[in-house]
Amino acid sequence: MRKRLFAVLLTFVLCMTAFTACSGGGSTGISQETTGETQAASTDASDYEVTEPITITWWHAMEEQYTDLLNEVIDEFEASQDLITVDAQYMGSYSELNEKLATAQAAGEGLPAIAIANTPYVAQYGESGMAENLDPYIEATGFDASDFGAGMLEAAQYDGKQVSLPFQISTQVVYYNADMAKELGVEIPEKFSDMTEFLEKVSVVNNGTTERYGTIVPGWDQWYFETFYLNNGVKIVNDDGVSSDLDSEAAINVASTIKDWCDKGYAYFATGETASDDMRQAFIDGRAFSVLHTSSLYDTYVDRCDFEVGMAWLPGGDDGSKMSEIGGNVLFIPANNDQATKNAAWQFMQFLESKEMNMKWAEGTGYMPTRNSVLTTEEGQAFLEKKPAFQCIFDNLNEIQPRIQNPAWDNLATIWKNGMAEMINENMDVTSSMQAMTQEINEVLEDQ
Amino acid sequence: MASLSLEHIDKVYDNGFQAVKDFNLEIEDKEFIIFVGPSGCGKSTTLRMIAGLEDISAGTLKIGDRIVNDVEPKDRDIAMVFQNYALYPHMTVFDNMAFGLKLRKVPKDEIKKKVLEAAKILDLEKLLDRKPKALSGGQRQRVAMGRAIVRNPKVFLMDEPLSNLDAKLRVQMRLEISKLHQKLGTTIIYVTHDQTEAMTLGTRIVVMKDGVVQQVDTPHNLYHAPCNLFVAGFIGSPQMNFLDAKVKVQGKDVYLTLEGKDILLPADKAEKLIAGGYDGKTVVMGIRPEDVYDSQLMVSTSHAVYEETIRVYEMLGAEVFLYFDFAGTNMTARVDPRTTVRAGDKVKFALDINKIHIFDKETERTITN
Amino acid sequence: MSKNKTASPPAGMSRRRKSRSAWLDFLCVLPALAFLLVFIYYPIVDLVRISFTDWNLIKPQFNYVGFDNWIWLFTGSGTKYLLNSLKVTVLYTAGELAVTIIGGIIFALIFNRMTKFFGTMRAIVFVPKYVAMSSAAVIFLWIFNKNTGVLNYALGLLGIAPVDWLGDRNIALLSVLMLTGWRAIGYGMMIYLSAMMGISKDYYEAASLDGANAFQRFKSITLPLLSPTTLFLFVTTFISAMKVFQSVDILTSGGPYRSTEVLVYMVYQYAMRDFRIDRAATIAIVFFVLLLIFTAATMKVSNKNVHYDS
Repeated sequence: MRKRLFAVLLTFVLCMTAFTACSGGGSTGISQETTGETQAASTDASDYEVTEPITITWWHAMEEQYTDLLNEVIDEFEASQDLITVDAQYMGSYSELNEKLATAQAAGEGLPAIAIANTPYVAQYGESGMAENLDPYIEATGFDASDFGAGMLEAAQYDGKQVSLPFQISTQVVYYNADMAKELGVEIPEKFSDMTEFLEKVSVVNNGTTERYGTIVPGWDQWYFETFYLNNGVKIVNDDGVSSDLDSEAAINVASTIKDWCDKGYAYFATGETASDDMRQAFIDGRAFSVLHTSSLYDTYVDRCDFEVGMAWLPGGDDGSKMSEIGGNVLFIPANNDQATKNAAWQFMQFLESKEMNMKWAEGTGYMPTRNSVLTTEEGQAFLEKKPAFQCIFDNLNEIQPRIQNPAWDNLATIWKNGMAEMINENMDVTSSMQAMTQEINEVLEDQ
Repeated sequence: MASLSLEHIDKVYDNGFQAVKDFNLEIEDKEFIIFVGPSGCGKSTTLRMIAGLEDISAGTLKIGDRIVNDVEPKDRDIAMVFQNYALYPHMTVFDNMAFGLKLRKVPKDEIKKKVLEAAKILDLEKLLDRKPKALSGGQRQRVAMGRAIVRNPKVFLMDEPLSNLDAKLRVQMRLEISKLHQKLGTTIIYVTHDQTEAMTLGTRIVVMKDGVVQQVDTPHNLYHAPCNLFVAGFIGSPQMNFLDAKVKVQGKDVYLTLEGKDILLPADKAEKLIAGGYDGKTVVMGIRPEDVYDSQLMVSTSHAVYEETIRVYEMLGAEVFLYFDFAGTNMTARVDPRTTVRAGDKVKFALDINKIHIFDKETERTITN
Repeated sequence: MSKNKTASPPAGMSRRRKSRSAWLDFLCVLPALAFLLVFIYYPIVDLVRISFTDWNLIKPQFNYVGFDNWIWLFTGSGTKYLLNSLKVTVLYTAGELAVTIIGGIIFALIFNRMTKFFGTMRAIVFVPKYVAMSSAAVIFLWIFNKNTGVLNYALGLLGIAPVDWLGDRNIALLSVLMLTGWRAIGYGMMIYLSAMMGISKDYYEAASLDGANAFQRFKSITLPLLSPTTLFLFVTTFISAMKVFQSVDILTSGGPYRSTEVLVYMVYQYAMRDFRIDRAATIAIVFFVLLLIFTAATMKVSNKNVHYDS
């Protein structure tokens, strides 16, 4: 009898703790107080001042090769003022950083003062209120945000609100062996439809074995081939937000073309955990004439290749559309911190976002200058002299568009890239593949 | 059923230790042979060599006319009862007994018949569905025997099968084994360290020490005519008394000087001593406790009479043992239980000279047999 | 066997002292109990609650949506992913079980002698267990590399064409199992070895005399007497295999084409990629219940087939 009573009591206690964890019960539970949204948006500069010494943490994903530059920047900041010190912490890859931010957010504590986020996360961080709305800060402190490339600024917004600022920006480019290009007398085509012919010229295929690939298509991230679709009349996510047009004629066309390159041995669709390293090595070894990759790796390629490395804009649509998508990361300020921390973070952010700092990053890494005005300045010219390949980027700075924002985007992207990989590597029928894939995507989009 | 023969069997281990030295034995059909001796004397090793569980280092082992030195244990047509029974713990009693037959692909109904037969003999019928852990020690022992019987082997080997049982059970089982031997009429080779078991069960006993056979003989002969000091001391409980004595030859008479007295030896013993040239030498005299008397009759007719103080008085019910110091050793005398003497009393003891054994002090061999 | 009265104070104690003694016992257990409650039981119960919400990890608000997630998982678009994950996980678990148990027994039999050489061989087989799974996985990632990996290089020396270990949907799971097997065989071997040494030689001698050859001795004596060990390895390996994550995360990220997307990886994707904790919780609970059912079933089966030597 006693035993039973005890067991019942225990179960009851457990249930109580479970349900009282959410304050308010009923049909709506709120697990923590919302901040940021409900705060009055002051535009008085004095509200954003830093008045006391404070140390702020900065979570980033910059690997070893950037450490020296990072320390230089921080030292410069700390020398420029005497209240704020910065503790920069490397959190791993973008996805690891994302995990840590998400768990800190859910736990309600442990968030850094300022953090980097891979551009695809802007929408979610913005929507969830995780990122602080920077509009009041910008207005109050008079920060000039107009000089950024238009697409870049938009990419750092959610629902019209500036929830982050573009930081280390990259975009899709074609890296090619400039020496070989001169020898063969070729140029990267401007139109996607010219690619097949071009690739035939620059690849070396003997008896079914490819000795030199014309290009390599990264299949581990759909970002690399997304623009081929976008520039050829495919929206990927329809305007209704719950269906996809990846089974349209235009999409099937693009997919067939890519598959054709691979079938003929002019290219291959790179997948797997080591695909990125393998691809880089192939280019460096001269086994690939070109690769599709991110502009941020420019310096890395230049360092490792013993030939001249050229960068070209990705081939666009027949109608001349050649938009690219933003890559790299933004800087944001987590909303769930106290105002003093956020103020200090904003101070630091302004420093990091200054034109000078931007050029410093651009020079020291492969990330690009983000200011329109740079193009016309001396520094811009000096930069181009050092990195002439960036001409194609400078020419197309305003073509850089924000990412597609949709709550189910990650899921969609996984299905899409898996679908492409399967279709190409397992040699399946393009039309039925794309249709099956789109059906799966539609289910996911509807279901979110 | 065939006989068994061991010729010049040696067992030497890798480290050089020789456990069995030059073992020779011819075993006839239906004999109950006992290997007995203290721990480490090589009796179990020899048994295991017969079973095939140990390699034979040298010599020939024959079962019947077949040399079986290199024959697999399973092909030697023998069965063994282990000291710890070695019953398969995950099988029922029935399966334990049936195991060997199953392996030989004996048809199921025949297996059943044989197992039930053996179970009947050993009174195991009600236990056939139990697992070994649900059996008592005595029951396990019987199952182990049943497992051996079922195989109908030429030779039964038993390695100290009773040593894990309590005293009462041991006596009971001894009887059972004896009856079994008569009933089955098979050859049994039995190893024990208990000389009582050996004496009561065996038709012939092999006494071993340090790997060497001391004497092979019937229980009667071992008791009454031990061939050396060890056998004499090993067989018989309580142990034979051993005393040092000096030989004095005077013409045809031989005397043993013992505690100041000269005791005249009977003619047959005297001859052997003279022939062996033991005049003036010290020999070991052995006399069993039952040949040390305190009765008036013996005391008055023997010239080997000594008066000693009793140190310990032991009452065993039908017997009384008196212990006293004599000639530098502890003497044991077995006397009539109706005796009234107690520890501390001075008693006159008479030694029955006809029953003494005399051993050479160096070789330890018996002189007088 | 006498009935075991656990944890009762001595019979002679007074009532007052008994209750105080019981109270003291409870206090001693309290810290561990509290830990269990807070970090294990409470989260599990909370997971059930979360599965009835639509909670997004980074959004503070959520609503109770009843059985929506359950419907999604069992009849909606989530079903096919769940079934795929279950299939992959079960296949993987079967593989790890086979390697640990069968491989373990074989290696234990091989290395059963007490010589120095065998001791060294055993150590070599067992050492992989000491290497952390993540480190091992990163190294295996490169061993399995289609173009530059050591494995394909070795195959090339033997004249065999390179195999796409991690990119071929039919082979990827096998490759993950190879990594697991490399670590698990030594473990299974050691466990079985120590159990084998506990089996009395007498049984084997009796069996020899009964006429059993080496294989029959193995089948009739070794195997049944090892059954408690087998049960132990079966249950523990099953549970840990079902929970596999690290090797998959590093080697294949669930690919190619979800052919290595095990249950835990699926939960991880929903939680961290999509921030859909509610869906992740639903899947996790299904997983938990499955494991419970399995363990109960195994215990029942084992009562008949596992022999404990007294």
